[in-house]
Amino acid sequence: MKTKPKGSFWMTLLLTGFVLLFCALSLSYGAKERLIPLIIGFGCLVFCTLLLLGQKFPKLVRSFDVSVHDLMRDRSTKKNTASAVADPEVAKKTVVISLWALGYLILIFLVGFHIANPIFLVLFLKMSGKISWPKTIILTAITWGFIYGLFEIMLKQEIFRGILFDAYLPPL
Amino acid sequence: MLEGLYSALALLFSSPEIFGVIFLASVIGLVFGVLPGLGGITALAILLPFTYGWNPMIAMFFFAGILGAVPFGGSISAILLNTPGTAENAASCFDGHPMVRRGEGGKALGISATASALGGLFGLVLLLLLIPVLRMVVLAFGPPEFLFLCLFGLVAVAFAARGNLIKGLVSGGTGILISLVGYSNVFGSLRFTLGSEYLWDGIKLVPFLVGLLAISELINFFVRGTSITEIDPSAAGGKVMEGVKTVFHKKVCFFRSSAIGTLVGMIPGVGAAVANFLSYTTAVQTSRRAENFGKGEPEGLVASEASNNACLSGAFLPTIAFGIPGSGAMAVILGIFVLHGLEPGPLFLREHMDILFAIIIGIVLGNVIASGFGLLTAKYLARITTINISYIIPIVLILCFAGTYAYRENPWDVVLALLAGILGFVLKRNRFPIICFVIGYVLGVLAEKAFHQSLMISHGSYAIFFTSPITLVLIALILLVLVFPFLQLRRNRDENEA
Repeated sequence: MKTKPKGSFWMTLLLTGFVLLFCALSLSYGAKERLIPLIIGFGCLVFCTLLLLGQKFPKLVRSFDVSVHDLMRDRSTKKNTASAVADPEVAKKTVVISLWALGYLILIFLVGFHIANPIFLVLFLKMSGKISWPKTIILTAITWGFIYGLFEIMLKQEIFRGILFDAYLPPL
Repeated sequence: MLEGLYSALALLFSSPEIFGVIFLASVIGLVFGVLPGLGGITALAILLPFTYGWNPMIAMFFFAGILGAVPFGGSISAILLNTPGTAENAASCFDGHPMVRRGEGGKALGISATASALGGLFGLVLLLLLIPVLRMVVLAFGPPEFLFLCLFGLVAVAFAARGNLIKGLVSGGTGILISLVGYSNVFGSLRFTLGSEYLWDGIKLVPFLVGLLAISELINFFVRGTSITEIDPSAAGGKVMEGVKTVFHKKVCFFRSSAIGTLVGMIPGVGAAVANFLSYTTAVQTSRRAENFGKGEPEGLVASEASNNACLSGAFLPTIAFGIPGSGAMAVILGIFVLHGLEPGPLFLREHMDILFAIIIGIVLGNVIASGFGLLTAKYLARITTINISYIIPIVLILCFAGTYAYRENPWDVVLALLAGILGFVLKRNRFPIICFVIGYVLGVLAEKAFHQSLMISHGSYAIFFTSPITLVLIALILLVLVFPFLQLRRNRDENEA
């Protein structure tokens, strides 16, 4: 019995929920407005259900499990989807890089690009990349100079200054 | 028609500075193409205001030069970083990146540069031959035909993408649903905004693509935790001329892919991404080495690169002749026309053929300059793959966020890009093809519009979808693509049993 890709199962479940949300919202619109969302949504739900059932009954979806790349090789030698298993290391690293990006995003919102960029670069290069100080400083200076030169000098476009410096934040 | 060509050439050769403008445009296009997630639309949008007051012809040379260079720039990042700058370079990842990983980065770039330049030239020649019949061809595609063309594009991409067909279709369908968020021009109402003012404009193309294609790849880099390749830089950068020769050895694939690219480019709304995959799929299905595709087969790279460059020339035609943008970049080009007082439409082809040829020449020169530069610097470009990713991740992330913000100066776009990036990574990780998601997203609104326009034309009768010969052919093609895998599978099984 093959190992089932748990990550794929949860992803399919997430997409199913997402499609269901669209279908549910569609019901509150007029007949024409909801037609395409419901048609597409229904089709997606059928396929999602097949994928979900395929976790339990692999034979059910095996005949659909083809793509142009898989056609040209013997199915018996086809890689199984075990690589899709979200192993703890991958999940941990995904969370770590997402937090780095989120932290950088929060910095941008607070103090704007010109201050957030060097802070993020120095912290990332030193803490995550373990890069030496000279390289970190040079790379930070070049990147900051490039972004500053591009927006402030070449494009004369005022880049976001951050809400702490009274930058306008459009309504969400 | 030829007067327009003479006029454009006369301006080009009488004003050497125009070569300088095109060279500058090519370098800008190359840089924007190389930087993952930026690409042609962002370059055009950022530079649009700076050309106000320019001679329209020079402005067209400039923007066409950018557009001509972007695909090769995008292919550099697709090949070396496995990160397509734009969707139209996505198929280049399939075989370009595996070539890099086995130490043939220079050869892959050589193939890409040559196929890009020659593909662009092919597009120009075919365009010149087809202009007289252009109007008939484009006019033959009404809303029902257009709808099925969109569906065909989506199914073909789901079939072509790595992963499996069902996951491809789910991705495509979800992409379509996301494209329906926001204000609908068809109904004049808001849908799926969940009370958010930001979503009134829908999920915008640039932040969504930057996130889905570039940021997701950065997350992937981080998770992998090494340089893209540990191959010696000299090994990665060599064999450039071998790549050049390869294109000439794959003549049939090259001409077929260029023809597909040009013809698909002419069809409004479909664009280079579909041309790219259609060419790639055709190459897979017709090649004697089909089993090597996806593992670094040079023919796959030739098909991808020739088609997306040839597509550019074709994509301009519906934009100019009917004011229908063939792609996101063409939508920006329409804005450039308006800025320079040019009105696209049937009259344009009669009165402004010089502009059309300025665009075509700009694309070809931009293509050739970018490809030449790429060839000269291939050995150095290949070294990018050996750089520690700790340098690449923060710098590219900064460029992605800054480029996303610059698009329309809305910081929430940066949030969207990050969310799309995480979504893209998770989708990719679980073998849901991202490119299907993107194509569904791009074609969704257009397909819905075509659907309702068709019903308006037929006064509500669904028979309109099954009466035109073109729609019937397209339906047959869709069914063929859906059924073909099972037929092929059966054939493979029979062969195995025998």
